[in-house]
Amino acid sequence: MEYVLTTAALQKKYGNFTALRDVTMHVPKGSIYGFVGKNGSGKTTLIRLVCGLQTPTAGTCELFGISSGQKEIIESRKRMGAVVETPSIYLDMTAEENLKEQYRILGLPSFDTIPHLLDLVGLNHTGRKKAKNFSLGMRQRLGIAVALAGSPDFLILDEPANGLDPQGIIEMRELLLTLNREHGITLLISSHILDELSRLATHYGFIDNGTILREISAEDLEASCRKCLCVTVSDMRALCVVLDRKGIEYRALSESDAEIYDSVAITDLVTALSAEGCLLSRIHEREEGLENYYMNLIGGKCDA
Amino acid sequence: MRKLLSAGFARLWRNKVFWTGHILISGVIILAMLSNYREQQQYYDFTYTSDTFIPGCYMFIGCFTAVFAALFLGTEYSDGTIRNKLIAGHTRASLYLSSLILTLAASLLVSTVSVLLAAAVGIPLFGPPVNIPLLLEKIGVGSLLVLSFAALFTFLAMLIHNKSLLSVTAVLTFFLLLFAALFVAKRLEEPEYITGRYSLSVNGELVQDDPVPNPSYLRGTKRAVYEFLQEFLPTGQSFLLNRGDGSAGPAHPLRMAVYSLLLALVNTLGGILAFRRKDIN
Repeated sequence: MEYVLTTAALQKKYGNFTALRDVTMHVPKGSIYGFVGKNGSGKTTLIRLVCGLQTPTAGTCELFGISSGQKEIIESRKRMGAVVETPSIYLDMTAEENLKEQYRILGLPSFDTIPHLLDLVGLNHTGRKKAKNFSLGMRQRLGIAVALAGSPDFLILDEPANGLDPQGIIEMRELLLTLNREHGITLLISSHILDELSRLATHYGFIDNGTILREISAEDLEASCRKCLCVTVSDMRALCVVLDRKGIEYRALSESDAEIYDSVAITDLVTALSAEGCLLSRIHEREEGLENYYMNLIGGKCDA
Repeated sequence: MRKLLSAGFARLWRNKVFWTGHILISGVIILAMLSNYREQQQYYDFTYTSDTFIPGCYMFIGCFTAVFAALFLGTEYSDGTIRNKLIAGHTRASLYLSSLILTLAASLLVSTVSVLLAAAVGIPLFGPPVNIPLLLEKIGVGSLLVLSFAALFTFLAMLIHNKSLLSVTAVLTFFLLLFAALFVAKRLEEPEYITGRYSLSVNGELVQDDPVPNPSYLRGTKRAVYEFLQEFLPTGQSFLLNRGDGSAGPAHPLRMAVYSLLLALVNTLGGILAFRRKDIN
């Protein structure tokens, strides 16, 4: 598999505090890599190291196959764009002026593509309005437009949906999917909104206390997520007797609620419970999602 | 670096602090000229020449550079746009040097416009400069003084990422240097002897006592140190370039120029080394 970004035993210390310890991660080309971790787990620190804003204490990162130890890493960074924490835009300039400024920084010969870029992020009608008067969502989109100015192959977005309203989140998702599917841009997205991330990501990396806990593809995550039947009964003891007798794995949650993990014939279950004098009042299937997977991974102390 | 300068100059032309600096510095000097012209018309014992006012901007340019660097360069940190430049593949050294060039260019433009405006208004009012070579010498030394101010405040602006803290630090640094220069100038201006007191003699005549040595007058090594400080401190140089009625220049212009270059070099080298190691958020 071809990787856009790999890190090897990356470490970052601030004085005595270790923000990242031996982080090894792999972002496949063409993927949408969801970077998940609670506050202070090291997501933004890692992004800063990849962007060259800070230097690692130890370890290396490779961008497009070029190691951070090589001089060429500066050239390879020209193939990436990033929005780190807050959008990097001049607040006293309009959207168009911000893009012109970024075009000059990149040394692009013409401003002809600016209208297309503004159109892509939905800011083509902002006119003379200064960025300081933009909504949070508009600023985020302008930040992405600035990051896209150099037509990057790899885009890093740090919490792109942070503070957006539901409409803004949907628009952001559509924009990111367009960038990935139509423009072939590899995305690394750190996000707290796991439900939103699960609609986008093709790969995941989970980080906690500066350590990568697991990297997994969306396909593998889906396969490893357990499906279960959630049932509500009038007599929990009767349910336990029936399930134990059938050798079915389950977990009692309360006096009336339980989760059944193995596949079970519902008619047989209802008949057996009825024979024990127990009423089955509710039953539905539930699939373990990204949130539960993450909770289990970090041991239930979720702050993501 | 060319790309960074192109982007920086595009931003400079629309920067409010830059244009406000032009208006304030040139305005103060033109006002001073008009006020002194009125004074000269009313009291004939005052005779000014345009030499007095033309290098006047070097008195205020340090304050402008401090405020400009804090607000113009500080925005790069406060708006986070410094990240765009690094991610775009620019090296830290080129980022630092382009910031220095922009600060220097802005300060030189403000001082040059002020010199030209002062000449345009001053020559019709007070006549042409009496000593043109001296005036040119002052402008040359003044331009290097601008470089040392630009290097000092770029150093602060590139290493302090909090814009409010940077603004306070830059302005405080300027005033600290200003007060230090004022103190040094005051000590150096102490007369060597105190004029003798007048008293009435026994035959009723008014006689003056012999002058007595002034204990506050600086002598020997102490005086040499104070003189060095006056020529070394950028604010001290500002005073020396604007001393008196403009007919006399600084005693050691070449030495002052070397000090300015040295300060600029040390600040820039130290700044680049520190900026290369700085963690940017």
